[in-house]
Amino acid sequence: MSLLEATGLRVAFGGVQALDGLDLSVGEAEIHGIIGPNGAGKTTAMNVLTGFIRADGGTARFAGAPLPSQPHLVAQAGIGRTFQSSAIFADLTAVENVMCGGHRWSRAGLFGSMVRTRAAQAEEAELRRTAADWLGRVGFQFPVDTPVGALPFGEHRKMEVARALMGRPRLLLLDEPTAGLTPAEVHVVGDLLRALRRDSAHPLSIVLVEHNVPFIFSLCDRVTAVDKGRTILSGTPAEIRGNAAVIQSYLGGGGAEGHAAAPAVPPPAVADTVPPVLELRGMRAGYGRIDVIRGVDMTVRPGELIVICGRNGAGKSTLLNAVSGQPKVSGGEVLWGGARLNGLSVSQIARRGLALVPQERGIIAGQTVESNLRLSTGGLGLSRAGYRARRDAMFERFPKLGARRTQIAGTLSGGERQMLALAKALLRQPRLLLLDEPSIGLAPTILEELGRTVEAIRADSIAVVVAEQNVWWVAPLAQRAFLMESGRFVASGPAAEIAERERLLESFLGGQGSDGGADEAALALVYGGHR
Amino acid sequence: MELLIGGLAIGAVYALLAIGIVLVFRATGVVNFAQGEVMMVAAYAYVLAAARTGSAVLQMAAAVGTGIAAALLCYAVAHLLLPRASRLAQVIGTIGVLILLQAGARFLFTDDPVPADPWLFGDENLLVGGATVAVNSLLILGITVLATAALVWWQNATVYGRAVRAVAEDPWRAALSGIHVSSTLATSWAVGGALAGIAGLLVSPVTGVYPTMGDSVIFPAFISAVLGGFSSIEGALVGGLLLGLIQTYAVVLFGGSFKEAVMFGVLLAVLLWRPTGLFAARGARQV
Amino acid sequence: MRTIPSRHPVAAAVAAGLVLVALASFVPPYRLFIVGQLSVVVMVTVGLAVLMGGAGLLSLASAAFMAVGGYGAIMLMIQWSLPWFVAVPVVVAAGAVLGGLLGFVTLRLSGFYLAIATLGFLQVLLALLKHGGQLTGGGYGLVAPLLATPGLPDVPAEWLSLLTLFCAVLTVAAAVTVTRSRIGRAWIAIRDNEAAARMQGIDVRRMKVLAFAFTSGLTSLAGALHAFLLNGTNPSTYTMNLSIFHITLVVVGGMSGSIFGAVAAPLVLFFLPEMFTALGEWRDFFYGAILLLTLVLMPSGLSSLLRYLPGQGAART
Repeated sequence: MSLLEATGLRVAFGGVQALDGLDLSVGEAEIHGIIGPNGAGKTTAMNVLTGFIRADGGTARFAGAPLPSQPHLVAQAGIGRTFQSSAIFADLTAVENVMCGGHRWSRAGLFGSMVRTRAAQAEEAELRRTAADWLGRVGFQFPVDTPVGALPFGEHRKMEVARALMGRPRLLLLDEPTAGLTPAEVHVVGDLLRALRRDSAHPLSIVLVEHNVPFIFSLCDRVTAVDKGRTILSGTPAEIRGNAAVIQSYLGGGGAEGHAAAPAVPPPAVADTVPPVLELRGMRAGYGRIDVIRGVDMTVRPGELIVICGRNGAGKSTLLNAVSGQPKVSGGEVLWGGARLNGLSVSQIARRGLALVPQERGIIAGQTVESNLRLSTGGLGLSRAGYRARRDAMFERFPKLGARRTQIAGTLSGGERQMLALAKALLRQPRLLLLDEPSIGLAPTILEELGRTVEAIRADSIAVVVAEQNVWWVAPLAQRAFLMESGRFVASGPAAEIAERERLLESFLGGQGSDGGADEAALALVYGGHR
Repeated sequence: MELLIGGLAIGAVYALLAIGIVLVFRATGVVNFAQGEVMMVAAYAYVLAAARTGSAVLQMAAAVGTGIAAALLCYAVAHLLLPRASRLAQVIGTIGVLILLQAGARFLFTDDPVPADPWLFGDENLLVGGATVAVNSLLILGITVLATAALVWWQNATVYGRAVRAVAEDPWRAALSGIHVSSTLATSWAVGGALAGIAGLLVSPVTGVYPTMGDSVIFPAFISAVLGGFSSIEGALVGGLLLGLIQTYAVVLFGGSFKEAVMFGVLLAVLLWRPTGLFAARGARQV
Repeated sequence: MRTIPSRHPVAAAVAAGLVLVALASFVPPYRLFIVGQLSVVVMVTVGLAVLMGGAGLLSLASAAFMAVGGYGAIMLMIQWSLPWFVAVPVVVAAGAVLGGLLGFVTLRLSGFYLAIATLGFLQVLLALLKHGGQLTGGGYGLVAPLLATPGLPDVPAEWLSLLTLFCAVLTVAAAVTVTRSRIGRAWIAIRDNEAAARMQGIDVRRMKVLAFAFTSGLTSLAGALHAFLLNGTNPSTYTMNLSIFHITLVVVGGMSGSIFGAVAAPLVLFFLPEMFTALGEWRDFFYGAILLLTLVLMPSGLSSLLRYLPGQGAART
């Protein structure tokens, strides 16, 4: 009898079927991994199981009873959870954050708390002791009374795991717990999860959603692979690794054929004598007092395509956003054709010829396609005819947009939105185009098309920088690549070489040694087989 | 009939203020508590102008111009002085402006109400269907409806209006398209100030001009905006007119001292019944 | 780590209150009245800081609950001849229940809508009070009966101010202990990240209602003492401007619900203009300017002053 049994979960968001019959079965004291490409529905599944999203169909049972429909009841039933992006209580200290996790089993009421009855004091002391203990066990590096607002990202992740464990759950759902952690920290988390399952006086089951596939394979008893909201296969890591359908879901419908279409040799490197369009020197940036970007150097020349790879939380988005003006650069220099961009506003930088297509696209969802294009001409001083000429050029490049010019942008499909976002950026005839995770939610065939578009843009002598986790579609097209880790570039060089470095790092993390065959499959999952 | 027109005219004043509040809220998320004081300052400008010139155009320019200037002062406090503050701090900032403007008016003009002559047509009355109706009331109504129509056109049909909506939806993505965010925001405040200026011009003959005249209209304006869903110009107009009628008939039925209770009672009922206002479905946001 | 603090917070609060009262008894009687008034403002501000800062709920009903406390206590004393020391606890309880009800009814609202709805509650309550006939004294309000205590001589006016001061100290202590408890942490958790708070098993609806009840109880207590200090109630006291004044105090004190700020802000914004009566016409200017300057120069309010106190670096009060 399994602890958690979900069958046929279905959820639709405004026409997009996020979950389309997802099955998940987790046994007692089992570590269970969920893997799947971006947009496969992993986080949606978590949200459905914890009551944040109501399923349109399907059933879910936990410990023999139907899952409650509200998050706090789910938590009280014995399910703990962490979130994909960090979900801290910024105004509390670390130990107080973890103490909140004990809310479900502590009892003090308003009156007892106000006058501090003996029972309330004893309970408070117990909460504090247990919370400090958990912080120690997850490897928290700071004094427990540190206010959490200023802590590094990795400490937030560990604290959140401690907070979830504080609730004494029977089932722990972890959404990308290793994102943004250093390899050593990943090891600590892995060891902790193994120890938890072994030591626990009460059986604890753990569900992990992860991009770090080797980590999943080394840790989990069973793995469920999902794609397009559906369960492809559930089984032991060995079964998953060898399964053709799973590998194909990562590579896309075309599989090897798609790769054959990509050029075998990347375009030649641009000579160092060409003046750079953008130059970063020791750039630092972040939110509040925390620097997320901690000293980045990069030179971008016209006609160059650069890929920045790295996991969720490594700082890729923050880097691109900060170059575009928000968050503000807190140190170092951003040079645009030799002139400083530091301190300029987002629109001022955009008007100088830098275009960012942010993650989740850069479109104005509430307005039509045409209106979106018209609005992107801010500060260009185009005449009506000049605008029309550029717009028609875009409709020529992206015929599907022309057909949908009066449609509200928010109702477009993912691929069409990406085209519109690109068209908005290109309409401004930028000198540098920054693309942040353009692959999210796009089908492999559309990604191949996007790859061709990006290549064409580069060939027009526009510099392009792409930040991606999912690099297979773009790495073969790029002259150079950077690997980002915790806000710094840890490796740089020709794209193929960096992909190789990534590969070594992956096998080290996965603890798979030189076990060639298994390693190969794991790699294929992460980097689509591109070497 | 007198009651109907009178109620609608009061409602139109509420609507003018409410639309200004909604415009600013839609663009910036800030609720301008000083909108009544913007109207008050404009009303003084009108009175001063009327004492010096007979030209209706100059009088109007004085009121509208002053309204815009006062609204830009609010903008400066909420956005330039408090750029990174929370929404609540920005709202409290507008309360600071409210206090300063009231204190300034009290210092310059004392607490005594200054009488004002109706703009353009004076005290004339019209016979409509056997009832006497003040021309000023009809003027208020007419101008309000016209201004609303112009605004709706501006917001929906022009590039500038669309830019305002884009900034409201997502300032960052708008800025990435090269839209100048702060000047777009300032425009919303200025247009709101112009509307408050018109309200001051039109309402001063009815109520007289005094430093705290904003206090008596700001909450009805808020209620009108809430009734209209707080994000829709048309909604704010309908909400204002409706509230003017409710208030007028409440005075007739229950007496003057129940005016506020009835208005807020209606508001509470609407909020609890439909927390997004009566006309939210027609709001501009389609997400 | 101590398991149980050597000094119990209740004992500490009572001791602190007695010391302050002893000190205040040297203040000349006409000044003592100001001490009493200020204590009332501190109590209301502290209560509101818990609701706004702690739970993130914006309420304009503080004047309404002051009216509930003031009218309620005097009506109980007149209609049922209850002694004042019974009437006050009863209205505090009634205020808490009424506040909880208001919180429950407005659960679906947040931000500005909640503020407007609570304002509506105030306006409706005021209309009822103005038209309550003999029961509420209509537009003139009620005159407070003498505060007789059996077995003791009549309470002189100065003592009322000292009692209010004492209650204010207890209120501050209660606010501090609650915000540093399981309940207070749950409020801050909800404000900081509602989804994560729910995942800790925190029942958001219940906690919001509880926050409303707590604050309304404290405000009712302040309202009752305020009415005693002024020898009665008048409907024109409980205006929305009073509520807005309380909110500005909380903001000036520090929007993250700082109890220290909620105590300091009334001292600055209420006391300074009192002292500069020579400012005359300029007093309002002064008030507005202080408000704006605080917002600009101290974005996290007077509570940021705490950083400059020795040994308070990481304290979050």
